[in-house]
Amino acid sequence: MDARGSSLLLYNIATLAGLPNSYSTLYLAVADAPASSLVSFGGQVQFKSQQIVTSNSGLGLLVSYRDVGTAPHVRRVLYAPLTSPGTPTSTATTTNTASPTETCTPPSPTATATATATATATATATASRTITASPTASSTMTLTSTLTATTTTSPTPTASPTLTTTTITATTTATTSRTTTATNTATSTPPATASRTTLAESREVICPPATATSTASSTATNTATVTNTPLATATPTGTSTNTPAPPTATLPAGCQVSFSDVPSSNVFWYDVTFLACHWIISGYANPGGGYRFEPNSPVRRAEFAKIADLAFGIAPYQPGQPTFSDVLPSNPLYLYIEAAAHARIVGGFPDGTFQPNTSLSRGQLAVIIQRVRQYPPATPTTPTFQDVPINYFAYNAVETLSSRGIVGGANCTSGVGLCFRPNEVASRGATARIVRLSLER
Amino acid sequence: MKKQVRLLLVLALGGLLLPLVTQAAPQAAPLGRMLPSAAIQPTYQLGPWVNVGGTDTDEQPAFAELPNGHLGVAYITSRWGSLRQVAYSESDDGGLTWSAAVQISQLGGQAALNSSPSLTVNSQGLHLVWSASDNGGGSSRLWYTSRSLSGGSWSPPTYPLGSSLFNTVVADLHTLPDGSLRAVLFGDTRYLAQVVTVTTNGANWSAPLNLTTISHTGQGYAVAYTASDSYLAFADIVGDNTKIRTVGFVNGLAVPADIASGRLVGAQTPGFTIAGNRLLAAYCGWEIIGGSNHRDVYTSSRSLAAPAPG
Repeated sequence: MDARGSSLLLYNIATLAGLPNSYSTLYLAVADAPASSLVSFGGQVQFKSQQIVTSNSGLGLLVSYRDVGTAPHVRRVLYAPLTSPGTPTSTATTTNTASPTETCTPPSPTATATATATATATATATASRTITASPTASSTMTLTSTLTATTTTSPTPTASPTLTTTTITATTTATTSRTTTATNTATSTPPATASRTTLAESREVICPPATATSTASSTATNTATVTNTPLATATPTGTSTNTPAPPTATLPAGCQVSFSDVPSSNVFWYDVTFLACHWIISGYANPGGGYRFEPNSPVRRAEFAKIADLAFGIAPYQPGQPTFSDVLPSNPLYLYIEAAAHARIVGGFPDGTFQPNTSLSRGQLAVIIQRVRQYPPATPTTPTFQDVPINYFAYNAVETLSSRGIVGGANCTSGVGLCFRPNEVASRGATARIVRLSLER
Repeated sequence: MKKQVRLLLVLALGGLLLPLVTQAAPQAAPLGRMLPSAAIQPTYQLGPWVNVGGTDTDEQPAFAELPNGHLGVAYITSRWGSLRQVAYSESDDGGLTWSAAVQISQLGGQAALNSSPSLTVNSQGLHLVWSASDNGGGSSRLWYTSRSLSGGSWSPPTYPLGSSLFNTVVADLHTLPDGSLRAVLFGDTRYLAQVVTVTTNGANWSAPLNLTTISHTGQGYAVAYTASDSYLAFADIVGDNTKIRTVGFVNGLAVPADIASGRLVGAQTPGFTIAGNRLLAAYCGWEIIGGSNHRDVYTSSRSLAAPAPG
């Protein structure tokens, strides 16, 4: 709230126009006046955080941004006073007069443009992926928006005297990785770091792709298509080991994915990084910036459906009617879940639900991996694991994956033999390990 | 106040003024549709930008104003090597110039990842918390340090809540009227939002009190607070969709509520503040109209005069 008693709303709209031209613009909305475009640093700046701060000096904007047009990226913390003339005036600086009806979509482009981008992704067993695109124009594609809302208030006669300012967090909005990949490729060949970083942000499914809200004059269309090809075509070798071997695939050159909670010392660092570099997994935006993977968190059924689709080349599938009562088209992972179900690598429950937020157990995960990879089943006469007996539902799957070194066990707490802990929840980190190894073997 | 009332009336579309705690979740008003596009009038001027840190390696600023009018900013920087460290700069001229960065964190190790500073002031000093994982296992600790208002050096950083609270923990630290501090923690792994009270000038930290569970922690959060109560807004997965939820720490008890509901099929990136006696939230929401996703900035508000939790 400013000195006049008006509430202020500061928000951030990001536009992906193909790297390195991704940028974002801050907008300041005044509650009793139309929104004003406030700040733009140009074509290659991404605001990472922004807040209105209040002090005895008055209002100010405290922002941080990253300039993806530089290598390495410039990251700055800037402050600027924000002054109100007291009464609305038309002489104040403004850089854009985008319609406020586009508050969650990129600003209107200044000229009509048509862009058609076609992308094809293929992958080989050596874990490299080639992406090509043939855009006919470089244009703003309404693929993703970043919204950060900051509201500030100054003490008023009725306000709490201790209240000075409220800082709002920033989160990146996104579309699917496939579409974004096409966008990244369509207009430029950015430095690897820039490309990867932006993609990671864009893959956070927050706001679904805007398809009809924009009143922009742009007629840009995104016809990007991506072919998911399995990363590996492993030939069964029958090698038996309970100790995962060192990775045989390598990270794509230039891939610099980084998750704040998966340092290089993390036991799952290579697995997580490998899959992230191949667009199979993504992390979560940290409120303060950067991304994390949450390797110790359980993997949910919906998340794993997406991972399995992307890892094993299962194309998104849209049925005539939703298959599951609790996975509707509004679900960001709807197409992934439907695809996984259509490919019969995951199923639902008798009540017609999919239970997308339910965790997967390690045993269930083994069954799904075995189902999708279709390894020749290993059926040792003596169970490898004390807690996976022959009559256990996941026995064949666990034994098969174990025989290929994809899963391993640990000493049982009893001190006798190995245990697999099949009923324990599969963590995201362990899932990354198992998926990566199953791609290799 | 009249303008404030006008604002609230505008925001009141769909019954927004009803207390969230006891009423059905209100319909949110899309900001974009509230504001006519025909008469855009810029009302603010932005002064010259000043590079607070003075280098090209800084991010995640946190702000506080000192009683003497100085402005303080804590931020994350990579200026001292490959590790991200916590730095602090201060301005004594309203933000026109800033002091050289003072290194706050002294944490080493290849896995040191300092992030998410939060800064507050009470009569006894300047207090700073941030998150760091330096144990190589990915777990995050909440670190704390303080400094007197007159300047001087910062105290050696400590992690008063112990280690491995969360994989990632972020905290909003704010000052209560009695001078004690309150930290609202938001972290994963345990999927909890918690609140901690800090007394004796940062020496005593209470055991974290659970406010609510969170099913998904990556969609943004925000904290607002009054003289006595604290409110956390966060986006969480509810059923199939991401919703904006709140939990208030009111009268010492957690009071949960939902904000984004109604026709919205999803929402995230909440902003949160308190204006007068009302709690205001802004967030990105979307709804499906004619089979298409329509996205907009939405606002909601409710009175703080909520019934006592029971």
